[in-house]
Amino acid sequence: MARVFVAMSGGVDSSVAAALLVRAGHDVTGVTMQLWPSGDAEGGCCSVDATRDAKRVCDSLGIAHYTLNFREFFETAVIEPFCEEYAAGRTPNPCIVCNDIVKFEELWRRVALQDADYLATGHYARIVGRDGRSRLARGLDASKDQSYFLYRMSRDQLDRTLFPVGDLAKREVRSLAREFGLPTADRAESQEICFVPGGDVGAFLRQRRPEAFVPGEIVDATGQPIGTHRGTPSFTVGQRRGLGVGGGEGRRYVTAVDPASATVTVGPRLSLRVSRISVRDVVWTGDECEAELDVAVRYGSRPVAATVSLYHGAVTAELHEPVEGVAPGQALVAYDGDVVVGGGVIEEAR
Amino acid sequence: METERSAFLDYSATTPVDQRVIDAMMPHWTEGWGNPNSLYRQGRDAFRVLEAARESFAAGIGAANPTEVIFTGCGTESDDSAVLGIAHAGMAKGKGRHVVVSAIEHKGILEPAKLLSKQGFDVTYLKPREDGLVYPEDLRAVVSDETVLVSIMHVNNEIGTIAPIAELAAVTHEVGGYFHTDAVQSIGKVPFDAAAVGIDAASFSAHKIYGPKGVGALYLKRGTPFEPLLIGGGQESKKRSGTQNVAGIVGFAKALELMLEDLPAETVRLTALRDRVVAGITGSMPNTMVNGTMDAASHTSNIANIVIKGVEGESMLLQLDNRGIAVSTGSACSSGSLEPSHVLLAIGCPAELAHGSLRISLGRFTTAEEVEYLIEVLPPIVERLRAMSPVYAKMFGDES
Repeated sequence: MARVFVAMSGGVDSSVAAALLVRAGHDVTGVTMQLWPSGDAEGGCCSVDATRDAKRVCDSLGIAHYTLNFREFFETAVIEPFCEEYAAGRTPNPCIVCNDIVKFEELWRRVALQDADYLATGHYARIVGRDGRSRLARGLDASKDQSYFLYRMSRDQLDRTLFPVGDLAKREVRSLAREFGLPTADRAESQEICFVPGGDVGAFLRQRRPEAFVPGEIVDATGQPIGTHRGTPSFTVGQRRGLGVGGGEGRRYVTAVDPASATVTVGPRLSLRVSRISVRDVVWTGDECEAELDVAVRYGSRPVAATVSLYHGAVTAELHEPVEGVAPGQALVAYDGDVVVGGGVIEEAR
Repeated sequence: METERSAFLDYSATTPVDQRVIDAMMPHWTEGWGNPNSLYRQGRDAFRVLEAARESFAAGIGAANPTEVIFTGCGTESDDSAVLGIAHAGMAKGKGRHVVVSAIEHKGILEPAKLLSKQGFDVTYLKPREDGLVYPEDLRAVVSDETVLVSIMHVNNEIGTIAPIAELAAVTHEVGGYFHTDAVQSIGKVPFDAAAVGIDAASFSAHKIYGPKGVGALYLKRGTPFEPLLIGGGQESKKRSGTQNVAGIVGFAKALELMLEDLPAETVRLTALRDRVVAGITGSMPNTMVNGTMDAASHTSNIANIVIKGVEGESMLLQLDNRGIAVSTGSACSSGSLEPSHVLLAIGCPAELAHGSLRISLGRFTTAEEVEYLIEVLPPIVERLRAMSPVYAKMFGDES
């Protein structure tokens, strides 16, 4: 029996994770992180409703539940860098930062003070080869696999972490939730960034960083101006909608965002294709300096075969076939089969 | 989990309902269930019961007349009604738009004050001094003939300090304003006599004094301008519409009667227990600090607020809960979440220390065994948490 704390969002995955741990006979405690002011009672996780759901689940399992305040920490660790990255013309992935710094560092620190042996979450991912040799691997349900969001986890972190639903399919999790009689069995899931109201990133950034919205030009691949925009933070590489530059030949996509000159470059779909990606802020568990691996360039994307080389802490991936819509700021995650070898933040793609 | 021994040391959050209060309420659910506003016999019976409870309660708080007592749904409703109702009605009568509240009020006062500023009122948040007390001369410095309302709580729910409400009310009256006090934590625990101290309004709550949840009261001195928050059928002299919770109100009056019977003896007993808590905690570990004055005349007998430096209150609260001990840290109000207490920040306690505060509050059923259990369990918890804290090593590395 181990003393396990479960990070609970109020959703079905973390609820079933907690129930499975209780069934396995562990000493289980539920915790919900309050990440931002919960003005909206009915929003996603962190809302009053979600916290109530988590408490109800814990109550039905007969375990204690605590709401822990992470507002200041989350603001500094996740929201501010998120705005910073967008202002710098990149498309950040805040869920990765949150897992890395908030869940598996700060939350771990706080539950370790409560004598926790493990921290568990409801992620669809697996940990293989325990005891100092832990590796992160894809969840068994390929359509739900969340290892992409967790690639930064160190061996130490993996050693003290449990993913109880990682070897289950989503429909099994839902049926377990009903079997356990959990109040959240049929709760809808959210895909949006939790702290952005209504999923409107542009409006959120405009409110937080009005100074980053400098009007400028939209140019084509030759540098010819073809329109104007109200600020680069509204744009992401690969984006087609909301450009306001109709007409011309065929559909156009954002191919580059440069806040320094307030310029958004657009081009035909073909120009989105890239096959060489360089990566910074690398975490790596592989031994070799060059390897044939599969890489994912955004959450849910089909993995692509690539030659990945690690040199002086920087990673370059030469893709064996070109891919589209690679946005600087997102993560590149490299897999050897189902096992995560490492990854980093996409710096440049061409 | 070691839950054989336990200690409930959070009486400022709520209290168990006293069996004698339950006994007093029960017949008014089972038999006397009439609506006191109905004209027929059942209504008259309920009316008689309601008005007897009002008379008893009014006598207990020192109101000159029973009609000065309005029963409400909770302490927060009383606070909201007083702040909004007096400010709006006072202004309509030609008073100014200036409102003063202390910076250590309960959210039940601070939130309606915030609403008033949005409505164009000029709100001053008066800081107490480092001892946790609001000084009459500090109030005098901020009021003017524009001041319509001053609201300063009698006993602070976090640090237990007692405000000099008679003097504060006098200062308010010098400029023609009205004085309200949030007395939720004070009635039955320290002497309270509305007419004698000369206040215009006060808020009360039943569940802090072994009465039921969901029952509050508002004292409104005759002639105090007031605009009701709840409008409708015109109950409670048109000051609070809605059918009265007769059984709950009977329980509230009974609860106050019991508090007043016990007040002198309980004050002595709880003061001794509280002093034991303070001595036991501050004497057994280094780097602790007591918040607010402990001067007998200005501190309630049942609350101790202690900062344990270099440790987060959250960590202590969870560890203590795991051992069956209930205490509070920061403000326990907002759905269990832990913010640095605005009260401690307002009395000059730095944020990093405010995070490490524990509020221990005692009451009718607190025993010496419970207090000793806390004193026995807390120091080893703190020692371990400090050993794991890089902050503590940095702050006090050489001393411990």
